[in-house]
Amino acid sequence: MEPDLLSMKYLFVLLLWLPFVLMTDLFPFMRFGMFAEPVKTVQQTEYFIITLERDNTEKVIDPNTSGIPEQTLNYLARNSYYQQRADILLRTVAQSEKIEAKDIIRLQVITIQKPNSQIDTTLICTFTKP
Amino acid sequence: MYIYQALKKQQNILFLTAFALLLALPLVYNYYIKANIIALYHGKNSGLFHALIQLIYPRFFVELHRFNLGFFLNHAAQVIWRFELVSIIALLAVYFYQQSQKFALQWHGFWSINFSEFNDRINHLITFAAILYYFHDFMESYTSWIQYKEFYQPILLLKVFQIPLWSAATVQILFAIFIGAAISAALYKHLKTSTVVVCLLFILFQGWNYSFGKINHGFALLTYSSMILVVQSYLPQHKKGISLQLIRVTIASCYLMAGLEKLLVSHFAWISPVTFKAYLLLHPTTLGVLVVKNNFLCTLLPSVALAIQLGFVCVLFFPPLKKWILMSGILFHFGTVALLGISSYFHPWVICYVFFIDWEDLLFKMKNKFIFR
Repeated sequence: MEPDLLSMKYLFVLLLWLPFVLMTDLFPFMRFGMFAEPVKTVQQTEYFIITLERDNTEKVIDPNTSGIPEQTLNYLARNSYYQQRADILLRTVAQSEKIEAKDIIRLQVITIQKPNSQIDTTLICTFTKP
Repeated sequence: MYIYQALKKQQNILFLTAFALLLALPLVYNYYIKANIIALYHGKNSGLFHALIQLIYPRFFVELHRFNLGFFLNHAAQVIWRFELVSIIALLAVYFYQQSQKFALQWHGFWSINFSEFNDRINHLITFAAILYYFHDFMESYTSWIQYKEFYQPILLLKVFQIPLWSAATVQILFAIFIGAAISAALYKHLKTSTVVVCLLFILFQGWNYSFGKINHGFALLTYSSMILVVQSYLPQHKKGISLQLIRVTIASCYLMAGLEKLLVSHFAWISPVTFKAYLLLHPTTLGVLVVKNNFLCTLLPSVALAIQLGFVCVLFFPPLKKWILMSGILFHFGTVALLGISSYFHPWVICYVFFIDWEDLLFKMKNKFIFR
């Protein structure tokens, strides 16, 4: 059976532009608003990191240790902070087999202050794996 | 003659009604939508409107901690104006199509392009091999879906079709099916079945992945292309040119939308060195840290990036510029990797440039150059 491509192409173009009009992703159709927002507020210049301290050495947790891609973890960190679930996130990260007992995991927010590009780090939550 | 006039009158009434509705929309925004956004922002549950926002813009409930009320009111007003703009352009296009024979002929000429089976085979080979390559991302991350299931918030598509997060064993079986189907589609075998399976599973795995908050726009063009290739597999060869042109329109639209977003949301803030520097510092790379010190480069580079995004659509209308536009597109993606660390040098959007290449013609030219030199 041959599809009616004439109508389908218009439907496809309509769906393609719908996220642009509604300004939201409607997966599998997406909005391409990357880097569109002007950087105005402190919240826009902040990003969240999760660090791991072992044997008095602290470093940003890598995807291999956390078991989740870096960008996804960054999103979860931000969302869990705003939804007040940061402690649950750190407990979940600690479930990874790569994290040993007594390891300390921290959720921190890094803020870039304009105009001198000064970088501030604030500790939000800490979890020690039992 | 009478019927023709009656139809014409009916069309005019339809156009007038559509324009009247478009004029009324800003009033609906002012007297209904705006008040509901203010109520929602202040945590007052407004029933149907709350459900609607939860459905189409679930990130609102996180973003309201990050942005002030003005941001969301601007956002909503933009939605109204964008709807008006797109609708008016669409209505004008339909109007000219019906009124002008020249416009209608140009329109049909635009969609009628020659397309050989050889070109189709090469496009399938590259597209599905690339999808297979990028699929390893999902194969690596699916174990984390189980570990982080407490943070799983299904996206709209999965909610609509009531698809939960499946068990690891089921997912592994799907991986095997996907790999088999992708190889089959790349080799141009059992196209109707293989393209459908690849497309559906590619969307499903992305859906699961994006249900943890982070949406990766890098795979958008490959997803769209695979969707169109599904429809194309059901078409006879002489009609496949339309689907190829649809893929090209889709690719150009994505660049255009990305550029328009920057202009409509922040006007010219994107090309101000302050904004670009902030983004460079938020996504630090070795080259980015060097560029951040130079005001001139922090104005020039985002300006060129914006020009490439807005100008990419010319590839559809000016064939002699095709080579230069595609090369600037490749440089643009290399730039985003080098300066902002976004995606990789083997960028999925660049893979989709294969749909702009006439492989037969290219091989013919290469033969002439190297054999008959």
